[in-house]
Parts: sequence; C-alpha cells; structure tokens
Amino acid sequence: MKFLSGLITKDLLQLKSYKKTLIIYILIFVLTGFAQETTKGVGVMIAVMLTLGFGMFGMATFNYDEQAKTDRYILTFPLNKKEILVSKYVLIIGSTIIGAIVGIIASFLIVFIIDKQIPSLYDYINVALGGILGVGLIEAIQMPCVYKWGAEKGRIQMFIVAAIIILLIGGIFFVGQKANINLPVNNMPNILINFLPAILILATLIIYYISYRVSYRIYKNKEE
Amino acid sequence: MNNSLEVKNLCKKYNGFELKNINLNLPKGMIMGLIGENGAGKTTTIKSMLNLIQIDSGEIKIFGLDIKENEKKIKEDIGVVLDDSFFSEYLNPADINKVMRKIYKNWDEKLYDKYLEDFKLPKNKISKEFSSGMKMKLKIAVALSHHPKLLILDEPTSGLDPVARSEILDIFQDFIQNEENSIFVSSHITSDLEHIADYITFINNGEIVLSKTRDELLEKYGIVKCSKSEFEKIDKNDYVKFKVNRYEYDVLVEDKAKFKRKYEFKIIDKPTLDDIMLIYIKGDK
Repeated sequence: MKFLSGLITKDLLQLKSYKKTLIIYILIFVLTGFAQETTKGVGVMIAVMLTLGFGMFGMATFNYDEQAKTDRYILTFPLNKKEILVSKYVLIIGSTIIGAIVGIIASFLIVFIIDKQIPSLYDYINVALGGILGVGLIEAIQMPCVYKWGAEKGRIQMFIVAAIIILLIGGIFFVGQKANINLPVNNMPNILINFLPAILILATLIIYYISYRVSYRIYKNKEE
Repeated sequence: MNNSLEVKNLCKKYNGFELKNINLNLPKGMIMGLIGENGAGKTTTIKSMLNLIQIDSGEIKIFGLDIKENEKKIKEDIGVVLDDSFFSEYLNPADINKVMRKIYKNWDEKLYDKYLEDFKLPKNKISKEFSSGMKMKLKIAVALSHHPKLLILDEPTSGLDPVARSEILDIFQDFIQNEENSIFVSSHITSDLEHIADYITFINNGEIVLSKTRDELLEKYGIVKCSKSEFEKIDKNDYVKFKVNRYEYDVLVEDKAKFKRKYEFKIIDKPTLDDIMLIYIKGDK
C-alpha cells in the first residue's frame, strides 16, 4: 500500500499551491451560509458547500496531471493501472469525507454561537451525508468522463451526462404527473427518516463503486 | 541474458501510421540511439517498450523478461525520461523525493541529494522556476536515483544549450561505466548520439531502416560526391541511395573501401548521421 501513499502524497503536494484558494473558498461559503433566513439554513448551507468544495479540490488534481502529462509519466513507475485508479478514488472520496466532517463541525459551531444552544448533531450528520451523496454523484459521473476525455473536455461531457440524467428523471416525473400515476416519492419520507443515514451511505458507496468499474474499463484500454 | 532489451517483430497500427516489424537488441553495458525524423515512430517505439500502449503483435523483453507479464518487476529497474511529461511544475525537488521514496523500493535519497547538488538544483524551489536545462537535469536525477539498470530516454537533450547537453551526455557515459547498465535513447539531435551511442538504429516511416554499430556506420559508410555522368557509371547494387543536389550527386555507399577498389572516385566523404538520415529519407534508388 506504499504506492497509494506515494500517489496521494503527490496529489496533496500539488494542491499546496491551491491553499489560498481553499481558504478564500471556505470564507466565501461560510459568509454565503449567513444569507440563509433561518439558523438551521445557515448550518445546512455551510455543511453542504464545504463538502462540495473539498470534493472539488480532489478533482482539481486531474488538472495538474493533465497540464504536466503526469499520467503518462506515472505509468512508467512500477505500478499498474488499477493501483493508480484506486489512489485517485481514495483521494476523491477522502477529500469529500474530510469536507463533510469540516462542514459538520463548522456548521455545528456557527449554529451554536448564533443560537447559544447545542443543535441536533443528527440533523447535520444527515445533511453532510446528503452532501456527500450529492458530491459523490457529481464525482461518480465526472471520474469516468475525465478518464475518457481528459480533465478539460471531461468536465463538459460531465455536464452533458448530468443534464441527460436530470432530464430523464425530470421526464419520468413529468410523464408520471401528466398520466396521473402516483409515484412512490410522496410515501418515501417516513422510510427515509428512519433509515436515512444508512440509505445515504449505501447509495454513495454504490455510485462510487459503479463509477470505479466504469473508469477502470475506460482507463485499462486507454493508451498514453 | 546478455541483452538488456530485446524487441522482436513489434507491430502497432494507428490510423495513418504503422510501426512495422521492429526488431532491436540492446546488449548490456551499451548505449543505443534511435534516430529518425519527427513522426517516424521513435516515441511509439518507446511507448511500446514501456507498455504504455497495447501492441498489435510482437514481443518485448527487458532483462530477459516479457514486459507484459513482469511489468512491475521490470519497471523497478528502469529509469525513464520522457520529453513531454513529468511531475507538475508546482512540485519542488524535495516534494518529488517525498513521492518517489514511496514508489520505488530502491529509491536512494542520498544519491538523489547528490545529483541535485551536482546539478546545482535548488531543493525547495518549484520546477516552474527552473530553466529548460535544469528541468531536464531534474528529470534525469529522478530517473537515476533508484539505481536503475536501464535508462529509456525520449529526446533527453532537445531544447538544451550545448553546455547543458554536454553535461547530460557525460552523465550517461558515467552511467554505463559498470558495463551492466544500458541506455536506450531516442533523439533527433544526431550529433549527440555520434558522441555517446555504441549502436545507432534509424527508423523511418515506422520501419527500421538500419541498425548498426556507430563505428560501422561512421567509418564504413561513405558519401561519394560526383557528377551526373560519373553517377551513371555506378552499378545500382553498389550504392544504398543517392540524392541530387544543385551541382552534384551525393551517393551513399555501404562499404567505402570496397567501393574505392571498384571505382576510381577519389573523394569519398565520411558521413555524419545527419547525412545518412537525409539521403535515406530524401534520396532515391
């Protein structure tokens, strides 16, 4: 597993130059959070945006790799493609989880300072898990796109794929409504409330796993 | 196992370009230079050797082992310099050390520090601020610091001034002194290879045109400079190719001594690798 730490070290060291941007980003989103009307809204916004932000920083490593064509260089090391891919997924998932933890702590503290009472940690954990799922979905689509088309083109393709998915889901609801079909969505909240953390974690794991399989298939056959 | 590198019948087809039946043998302790114009297939050959692309057919063995089956084991003992790819320029040499010590089992931090010192590379300055020569020296320092037995270098001297080139060529000469290490180097700066390479392989349009020892090429081959009427007296089988210049013909012959014995030409020039390359590419038969 030493290789894993080597590749992640490389990515983290590359992100050193991103330090200032990260601090500015955190400050902006913490301030944006305060624009919410309710204290809970402030906490939710901060938790979600920090999860999203940290996840995006993980994805930024692809830009550095593409710029220096590091991908090709790394393939001359005693590593195989599976190991290289695993390291990227560990980094991306890890940075998203760190973002969620930072988000929970930040929103918890801010809400505590504003309301002068201890907020429900459970609420913020669910919000952060929801944030991870949302960010996970974006990353899960983006990763195979990046491996297929590169960091720059992959981002455009990712938006196209995401738009198609949104249109498809929206289309299903629209057709359902028009045809007076009662979709089970309205009955879901009770189930969700009881099993929400487990459902969110499971859904996130599934989408990352599917994404990894698709990325591996693309990367395995990719020629540098 | 006397060869560090063996390539047998390597074929790789792209849309509009094809590597055809590439055969190479690089003995231990030797330097082989791969020459050819841009787009001739030098980089594709190197990518095939490193298993960066999937070859259509053929066999590549490094240290007697098949690269596909023993990729990780082989790559522990190879140092690679690629012309256009390396670490991000936002990393400094000290950062690169932190990464590489976790990648290679034999990574030698002291040796790496020694190279940085010898090459006068500051450890804590990001490579974005380095000159082209310094960047190349950093790539070479990294390639050498895990005690590789084979260096595979793609255009290691391109874009460098003569002083930096000469320093780098000296490093390569030192590397093979133990007679166990070998270097495979592609370059279109043929004068560099004339100084260091033991073998020269010339690739054109995806095919190996010739692969010989440097001495055989530079000492045995010759260029006959003659008029049209003189040229017409030469048997087609006695020359490799010819090129028509404004006032004379340049005729490339494989064995100038033999040619001298058969014909009465007094001036047969010693060719450079550039001359040979040019007549092969631009000349006729």
